[in-house]
Amino acid sequence: MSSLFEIRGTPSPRMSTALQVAGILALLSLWAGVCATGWIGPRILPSPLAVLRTFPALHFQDAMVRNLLYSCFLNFAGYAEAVAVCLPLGFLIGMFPIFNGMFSKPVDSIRYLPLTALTGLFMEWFGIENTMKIQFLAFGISVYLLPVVVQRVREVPVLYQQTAFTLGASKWQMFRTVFFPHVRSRIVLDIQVLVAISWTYIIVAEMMNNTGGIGGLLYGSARAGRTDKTFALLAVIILVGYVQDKIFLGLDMLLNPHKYS
Amino acid sequence: MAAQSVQMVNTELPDILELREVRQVYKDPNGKEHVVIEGLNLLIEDLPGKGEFVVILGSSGCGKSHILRYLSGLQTPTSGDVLIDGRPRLSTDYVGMVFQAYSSLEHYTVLENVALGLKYRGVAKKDRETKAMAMIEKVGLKGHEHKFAKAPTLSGGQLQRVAIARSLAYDSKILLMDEPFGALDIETRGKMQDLLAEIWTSIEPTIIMVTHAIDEAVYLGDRIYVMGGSPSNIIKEFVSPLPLVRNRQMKRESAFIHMVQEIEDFMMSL
Repeated sequence: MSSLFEIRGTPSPRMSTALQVAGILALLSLWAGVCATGWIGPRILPSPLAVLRTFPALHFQDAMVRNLLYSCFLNFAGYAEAVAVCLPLGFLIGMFPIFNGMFSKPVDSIRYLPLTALTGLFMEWFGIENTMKIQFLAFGISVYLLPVVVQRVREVPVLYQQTAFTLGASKWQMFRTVFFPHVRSRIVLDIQVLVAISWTYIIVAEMMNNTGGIGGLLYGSARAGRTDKTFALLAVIILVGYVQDKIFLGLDMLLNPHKYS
Repeated sequence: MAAQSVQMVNTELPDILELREVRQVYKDPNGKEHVVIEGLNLLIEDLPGKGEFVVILGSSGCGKSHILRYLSGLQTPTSGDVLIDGRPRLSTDYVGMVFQAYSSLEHYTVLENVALGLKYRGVAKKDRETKAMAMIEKVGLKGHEHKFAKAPTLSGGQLQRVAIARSLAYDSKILLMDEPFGALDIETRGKMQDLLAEIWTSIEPTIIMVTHAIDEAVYLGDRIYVMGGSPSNIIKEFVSPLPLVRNRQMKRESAFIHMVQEIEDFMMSL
């Protein structure tokens, strides 16, 4: 037990699991305790039990699973497009001075764009259906993903490049055996972090012409003053995020076994 | 002051590596030129039946690693010629190099790392793995071939063994080594020196090694060049009195001790 209070102490795996469960229970107890005092009304802060009781209604009346799958589809489509665009562009900018000189400054600067202010433009360009939502999401992700890819390419050790060169690697072989595997070993977990951020943009995208999705449901619940439903939906997003993290970790272990050997 | 350079003797033997009148100039941020190497000449011949083991000694910053960078193609001198096999070095002349830092690609296994040069040459997978395995056995890494080539899965000494095997696996007759044992502890360093001496006598590549350690240079090299001066150059040549096949016992012999002392005295006098 004393190790729990050591600076940078490392509890056993069993203890870590117990601590995680204890942390969640402590937060739920605190939440329930605050609600039980009656100091805060249920419309402002519904109790954990009240939130739990909304799930049947969310499922049968609001088609929560269908809406969740719709949001996941938008997220996946937006991400697939962003990765498909950012990986090749990032490699080009990171590897070759000509592209680096031309585009590295605009890539760095584009992060300052207030994305939510661009919703009108995206509606103008892509209409108000799924295409617009996916493009908005892909753009929102790319703004962060592209500089990360460029940075990861720059981080490839020069020594690896020199080793491959002295062994006779062509530029393409250098890319395939040095740059791509090294960047891949870092970028999977970078994407995992960015996927978490992308939920913010999904909500914004779904609020534009509400055609469903978790964001649409959240918007509707908030407008109807159903904070219990809002809390339930937020809990679902957190749960989906947790599952996403596990999927990305599995993907990283599959693609980059050397990190886990 | 520019130092008097050593005159290289060109015999009837075929030339394998040569630097001719090499000059290296760098510009500082103000545009002022600094000549760091001037009139550097180095000639290594292909001895019959064995490759020569040449060691370059010198203080930090004297430019000794430049020699390896020129020969490997990692750097082009400001002026002068780099020749391989008696003709100007081509962009397709690749020479394997072992660096001081661990340079194995950590996303590949030991086997994949050692086979890398063969893969770049388009050798079929089965053939390159057979060749790589033979080299892995030669450097004493059998049983580790499917481990990823990274620390702490492999020790520092094992990672340098991977680098040596990788540089020799594609039948390279030349091996460049830039302070390869500089990061190793004394015990591992000693074992690696023995391994290198063994490889040299069994495979007989031409080896050019840069090091700070005089005893290492005398133990391994059969020709030792000392670099120094400003601009830098090769200013002294020592020829090892030790027999071709080296062993640890020789380090206790008077010929070895005397030569170490002689080189140390020379370097201290600079």
